[in-house]
Amino acid sequence: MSDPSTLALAQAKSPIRRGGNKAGGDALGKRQTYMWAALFVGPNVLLFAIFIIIPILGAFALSLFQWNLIRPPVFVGLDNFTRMINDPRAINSIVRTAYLVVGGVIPTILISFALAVLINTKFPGLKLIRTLYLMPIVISFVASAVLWGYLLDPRWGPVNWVLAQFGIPGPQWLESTTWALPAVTIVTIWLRIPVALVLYLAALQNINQSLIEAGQLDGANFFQRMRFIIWPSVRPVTLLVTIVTLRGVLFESFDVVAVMTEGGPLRSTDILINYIYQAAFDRLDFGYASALAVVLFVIVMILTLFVTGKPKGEAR
Amino acid sequence: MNAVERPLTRWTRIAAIVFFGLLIGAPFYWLMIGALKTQPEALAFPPTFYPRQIRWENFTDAMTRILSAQAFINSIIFTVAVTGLQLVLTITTGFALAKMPFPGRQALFRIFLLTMLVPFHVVLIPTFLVTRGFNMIDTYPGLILPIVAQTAFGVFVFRQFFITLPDELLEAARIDGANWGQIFMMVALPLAGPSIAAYVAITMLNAWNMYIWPLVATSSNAMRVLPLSLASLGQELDTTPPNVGMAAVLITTLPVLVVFIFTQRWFINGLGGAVKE
Repeated sequence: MSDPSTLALAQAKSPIRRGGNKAGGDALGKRQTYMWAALFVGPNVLLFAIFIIIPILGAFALSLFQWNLIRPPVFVGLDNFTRMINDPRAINSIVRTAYLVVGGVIPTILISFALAVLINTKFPGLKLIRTLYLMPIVISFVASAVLWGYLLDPRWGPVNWVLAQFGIPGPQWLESTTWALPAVTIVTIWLRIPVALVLYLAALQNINQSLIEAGQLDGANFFQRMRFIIWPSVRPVTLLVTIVTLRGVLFESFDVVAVMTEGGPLRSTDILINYIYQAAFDRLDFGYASALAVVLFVIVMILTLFVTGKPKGEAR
Repeated sequence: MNAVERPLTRWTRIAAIVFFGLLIGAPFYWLMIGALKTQPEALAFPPTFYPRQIRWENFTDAMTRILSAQAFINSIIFTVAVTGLQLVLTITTGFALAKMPFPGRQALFRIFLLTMLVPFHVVLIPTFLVTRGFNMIDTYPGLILPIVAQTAFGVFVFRQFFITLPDELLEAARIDGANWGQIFMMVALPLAGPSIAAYVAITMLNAWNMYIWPLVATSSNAMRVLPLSLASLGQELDTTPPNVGMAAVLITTLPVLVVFIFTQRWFINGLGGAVKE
């Protein structure tokens, strides 16, 4: 599914508005207001501190220890991070993750933008058709991984049958080291399109129609209008879509990989999040897995900053 | 701009819209017919595009061989508990942060926002360790509470909503002698309907489909939720007939799909709501 928190994040940059101070003042009394505030906020803050704040702090601390849950943890400094350099599986998983990010995020953006422009019109029955576009929102990553396992079956699956109709011999997909990761990428794109589409559709509603009509009068064809008028005016949403999709591809792909391939064949789909899970819960190497998680977090932050930083520069 | 479009391009466009819609929806069609086929037909090549013979037993087989009544009940408990508890926590906190003056309010809101930078998967291991520290692994509280605690997004959504309510509205109630609890229940809450609907739609969907935390937080069969049962199927695709497997996928997906088709607006508001503002 989606990662709605990123949507909020993208907005959270706007300055925090102050408001509503008046209602609390005089008549109700400060003490009574504090009491009610404690009642309203307290349980949430308690739970949040235990299960969110402590784990966030713990994630970084753990990466400096060696711990298998059985013996007491040993402080090893940055050893877990230097260990990674000599760990071919860590390097491999970062490369595979990079492939998934590039191969998943860019097509998702381009396809959902094009589809949003296409379906941003009106005709009887459109609502029904639009439902088709949004349906992957409801299916779980696990269920879709199972379903796509059937669709991509090299012996009797419909995908290879369709390819055969065009004279293309279908690959072995999940059993092939070359095609397993592209298969995971395809499933991820299919799952990520609807949310991106919803965001783009909302953005298209806000475009000034006279701008497009002006372009039309100047003789711009459909693709020119798309490239030179519509695409630039939805740039802020492209930014948001990129961040949302990036996080979706980086993290939720775990479900797909865990179900479809478990990282195989021959580690060809062993993305970082899969390696972290196996290092922690199969090998009980909690310190090293935490260090890998820190690396993943740093990658996410760098990519997010890169994405959010770039358009600002372009826009002078 | 439609008026300017020539009829030919208009029909090409509609045809393209229908084509791509069918393409994206095709896996669901395949799922539905696959779940009704007999085993030989499901394994036939070239594949058949509608079931020649319908086998309803696929669904009972799926319930006994892959899913279980217990997994269904667990999924319902998990989804309802997560959504209900999280809604109560986030809507009260959101209201307090928007309307109740108390020291540290802005700082608290900033902390909630900052934590959204850290994705859950990154803190999976320490979350597991904290839960384990409370001896809650493989229990309902251990399954539910760490997910309920993910309140940052909801707090944000509801704060942003309540802050748009005019203060005069609350003051009117205050003059009538209402306390904060009454103001919240009588004035604020009834106005929050659409926000609640959008939030509940997204939260329920996420909880129903969640995989990684139940995978980590539970170990016994009795604690399994539906995605866990399904996942075990994915790892041994060859030992289960595909028609039964697809019936299992359909059983877990159909409830949300039906709800989605009738309440699309809430889902779309929930997903797109944060952008509009």
